[in-house]
Amino acid sequence: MAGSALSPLRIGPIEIRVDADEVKAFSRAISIGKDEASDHVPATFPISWLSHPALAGIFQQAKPDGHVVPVLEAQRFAYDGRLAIGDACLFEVERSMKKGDPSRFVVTAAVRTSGGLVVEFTATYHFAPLTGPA
Amino acid sequence: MKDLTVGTLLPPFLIGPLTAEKTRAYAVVSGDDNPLHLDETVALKAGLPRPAVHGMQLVAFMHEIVRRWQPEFTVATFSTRFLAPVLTGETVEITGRIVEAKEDGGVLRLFLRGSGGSLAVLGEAKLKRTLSA
Repeated sequence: MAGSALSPLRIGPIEIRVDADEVKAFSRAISIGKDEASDHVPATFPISWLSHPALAGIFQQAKPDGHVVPVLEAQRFAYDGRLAIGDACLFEVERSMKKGDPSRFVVTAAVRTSGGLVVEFTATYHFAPLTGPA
Repeated sequence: MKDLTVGTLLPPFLIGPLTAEKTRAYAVVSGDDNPLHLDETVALKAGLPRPAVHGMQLVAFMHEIVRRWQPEFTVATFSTRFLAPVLTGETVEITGRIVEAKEDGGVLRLFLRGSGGSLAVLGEAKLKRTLSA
């Protein structure tokens, strides 16, 4: 069964920039109403960088294979600063299995700028079986 | 300069309905194309009547609400547990309560409920007073 017993993986750091158009599109998708701070970078914006082509391996083996699908069960962000549009960042991601539990994996990521660590986030996923009637 | 007080309630905030279109829009900008969020057949096979809204989109909503509610504070940490799926088409209600207060910040516990009223996401935000406030 693909998606179980994933091997540990670490990718990066990759260089990435906080792009104004991407921030704008992301902000629109999570909008809760009019926001005066139009240049505000949403706190969860770096999540979108997980789809960067250089990081494809992180989720590749965890892609649904017709038998299981990854489901997010917990997450945590820790902030040491804020991102601003135009910031040049280093993004590093690590994937590991939950100790003693082949049905869960953890993705940890860190964003750094020239000023140091800005945000770290951790997301824990479990594999849900696709056994129901279609 | 305003301090946090234990027991202060975050005013209930409704978001929705979280349509399939909104879920697709979030999938595009986040890059999370997990079919559990987009494909009705996969959702059915996973035991859900409809695709589930991305958990990270719900987290993003919660973040934005906290930011606007307490602009004198920044979020130092934000953790959530996803207890039940929120399905496309649902409207969610986000509430919260300050459970710890200090001179320079505090802890806000957050609750996100789906259309049926059951708790779907439990969150906790540690707030820190911004230096400029």
